[in-house]
Amino acid sequence: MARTRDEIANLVQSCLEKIQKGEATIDSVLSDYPEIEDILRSQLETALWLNGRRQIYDPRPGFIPASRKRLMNVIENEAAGVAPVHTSWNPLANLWRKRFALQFAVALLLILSLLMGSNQAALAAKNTIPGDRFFPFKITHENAQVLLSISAENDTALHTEFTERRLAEIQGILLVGRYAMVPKAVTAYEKQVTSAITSLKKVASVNSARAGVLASQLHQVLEDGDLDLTDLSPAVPVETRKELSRVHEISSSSIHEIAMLRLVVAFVETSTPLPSPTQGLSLVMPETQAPASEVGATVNPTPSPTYTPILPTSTELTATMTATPRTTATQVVRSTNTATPVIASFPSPTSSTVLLTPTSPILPTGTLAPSNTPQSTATPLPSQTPKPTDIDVPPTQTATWTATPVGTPAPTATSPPATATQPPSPSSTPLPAGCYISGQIAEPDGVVVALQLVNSGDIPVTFTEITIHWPQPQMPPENQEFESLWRSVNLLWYEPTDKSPSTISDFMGEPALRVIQPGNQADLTFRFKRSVIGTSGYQITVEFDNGCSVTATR
Amino acid sequence: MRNWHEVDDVQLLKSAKDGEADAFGELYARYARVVYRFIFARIDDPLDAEDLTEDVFLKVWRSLSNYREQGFPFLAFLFRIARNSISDHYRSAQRISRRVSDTVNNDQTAIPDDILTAGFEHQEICHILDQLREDYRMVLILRFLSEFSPEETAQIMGRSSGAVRVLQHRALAAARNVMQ
Repeated sequence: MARTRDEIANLVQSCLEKIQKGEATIDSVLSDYPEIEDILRSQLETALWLNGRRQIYDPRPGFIPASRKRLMNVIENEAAGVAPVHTSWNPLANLWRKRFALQFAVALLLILSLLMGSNQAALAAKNTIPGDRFFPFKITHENAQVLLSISAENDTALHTEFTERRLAEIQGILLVGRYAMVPKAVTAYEKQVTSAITSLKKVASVNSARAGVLASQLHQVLEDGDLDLTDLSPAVPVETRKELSRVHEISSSSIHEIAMLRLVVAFVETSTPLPSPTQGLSLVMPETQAPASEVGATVNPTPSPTYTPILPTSTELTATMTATPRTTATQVVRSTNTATPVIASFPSPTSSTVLLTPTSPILPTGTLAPSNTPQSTATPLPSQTPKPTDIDVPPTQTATWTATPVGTPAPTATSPPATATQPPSPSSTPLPAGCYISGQIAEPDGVVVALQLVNSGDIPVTFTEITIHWPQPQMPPENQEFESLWRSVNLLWYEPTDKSPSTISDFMGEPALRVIQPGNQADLTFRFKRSVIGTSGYQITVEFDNGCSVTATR
Repeated sequence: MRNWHEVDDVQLLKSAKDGEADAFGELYARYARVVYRFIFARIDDPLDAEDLTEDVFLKVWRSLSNYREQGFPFLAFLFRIARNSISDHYRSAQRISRRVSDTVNNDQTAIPDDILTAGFEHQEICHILDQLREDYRMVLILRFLSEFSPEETAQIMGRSSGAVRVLQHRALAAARNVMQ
C-alpha cells in the first residue's frame, strides 16, 4: 500500500519517539513497515546521528551561571542609568593598579555627596548644560566615575556616554540661545571624543571583539550628534555656525579614525590568532586625517581608508593606513521640476522593481546625492560641480535592477521648470529627503519576505504606512496569513490576517523604530504563517512622512 | 524572595516586563542552553556563540516593552531575535567565516583528542547544514540539536505541528543526500 508523504512524515516522528524513549530499536520499527524500510531507515539514521551529536553543542561548564550573572549586572546597570559594563577584565590587577585613584575618587564622592546633599541633586545635575549652576558638579561627577572605572572597556563606555552628553549640551546651549558658551562647549566635546578614542585604542590592544562593539557605539553617537547639530545650523547666528562646522570637522575626523580602527580590529579578528594581552598588540595609527575638503557643495570626497596590514612575525601587529580621497563617479542631480522624481543609484543589483512616487514637491537643489560607485581615486576637481537641468535625470546606476518613475504628474504652470541659470545650491544645508529612498524585496525565504529600504537622502525619513500584497494559493485549503512585521529584532506589528492586500499604519513600539537615518538602511521582515508560496506576486508599498512612497515588487 | 523556579514562563515573562530582573534571569537559565546550541550550530566559534547568546537575551530584555503576546509565543520571539543576531553577526563585522579547522589546525598538539573530535564533528555538521535550505536547517537544529519537541518547534517556526513533521521529513531526506 502506497503511503502519502504526510503519513511517512508522521511515521518517522512516531518511530523516533519510540526509539528515543527506549521503547524500540531501529530494526524493530523497520520490521513493522517493510514496504518503506529504505526510506524509514535513512530518515531515522540521519535523525539519530544528528541527535547523538548534540552534546557538541553544549556550552562549556559554568558558562550559563556566569553569563547570567553578567547579564543581570548589565540589566541592573541599565536600570540605574549607568553605561553597560562588560566584565571581561581582570578586576584584581586593575584594582591594584588604580588603588590610589580609587581612594581619591571615593574621597571625592564623599565630598560631592556632602556638597550636593543627595543623589537627587546628582541626578538633577545630569541634565544641566554649561551656564547652569550645577553644571560643574556634573563634570566633577563624571571625572569621579572615570576614576572609579577599573577597566579600559568601562572607561570607553563612559567616555562614549559623556561624548553623547557633550553633544547634547551643545544642542541645549543653542536651544536656549547661550551662543557665547558654544566655543567652550565645542572644545569640551573635542577633548571628550579624544579621550573616548584613546580609551578605545587601549581596548583594541587587548580585546579586538569588544573594541569593535565599542567603536560601533561611539561611531553611532558621533554620527547622530553631528546630524542633530546640522539640523540646527540654519537657525543660529553666523559666528556660531563656524563653531558648528568645527563640531562637524571633529566628528568627521573622529569617525574616520574610528573606521580605521574598526578595520584593523576586524582584520585582527578574522585573520590572525590574537596574541595574548601580555604579549602586546600594538595598533599603529597615523595622525587623524584632516576632513576631506568639500568641492563645491556637491562632491563629498570620502576618505577611503586603505590599510596595509603587516602580518606579525612575532607577536606584534602593525597596521599602516593611508587615506585616499575618493570621488563619487555617479552624480545624480535633482531637477527643479517639482513634479519629477529623481532616483538615486543604489548599491545592490536585484531583479525587483522599485517605483518611486513623489506625492509632494521635491525642492529644487543642485546638490549631488551620495553615490556608491567608488571608482576614482584621483583628487576631486572643483569642476565637477553639477549643472542643474530641467530634463529628468535618469538613474545612473549600473546595477541590473530597474528603477521606473511612475505616476509622475506632468509639469504644470505652477511647477516652475528649471533653467540653466539655476545655480546649484552650494550651502551645507542638508538635502531634503525628496524621494531618495529605494526598496527591494529579497528572495522569499521560509516564512519570511524581507524588504530592504535605503535612505540615500540627507535627512531622516519615517515610514508611516505599509501596504503589502501577497499571493494566495489557487485552491486554498487555508489562505496564507500575514502574521507580523519586524524591523531587525523589533516587532512593529502583529495582527495575523489572511486578507491581501493589508495596510499597516498602527505600528507598535517607539516611533524611532520607523526612522531611517540618512545613508542608512532598514531591513523589514514580513513574517507569514506558512512557508511563502512561490517566489513572486509580492508587492510592498511604503509611505513616508515626507510624502514619498516606495513600491517594491517581486 | 520569590522562588522563580516554580513560576511558569508566562508569569516570568509578565514579571520581567514589569521590571523584575530576577524573573528574566530565570528565563535566561531556562533557555540559554537551547539558544546557545541554536547559535553555535550556525557559527563556528564557540566564544562568539557565547557572546551572541548573551547579546540575544539582552536584546530580548530591551525589547520586552514592545513585545505583546497576543498568541505570539515567547519562544518564537526569542528565536527570532537569535536568528537576527546571527545575521547581524556576519553582516556587521563582515566576518570571514572561520571554520573549526582554522583554529584546530593551528596547534593540534595542544588540543585533547575529544575536543579535536568534537571540532571535526562540528565542522562536518556545519558542512551538511550549510547546504540545506534555511527552513530545513532550522528544523533540524531545533529538533535534534536544541531538542525541542515538534510542538515547540512549530511555535518557534510559526507553523503547525503537522507542517513541522513534514518539513522534518524533507529536511532529513535532504541532509541524507548531502551526507552521501
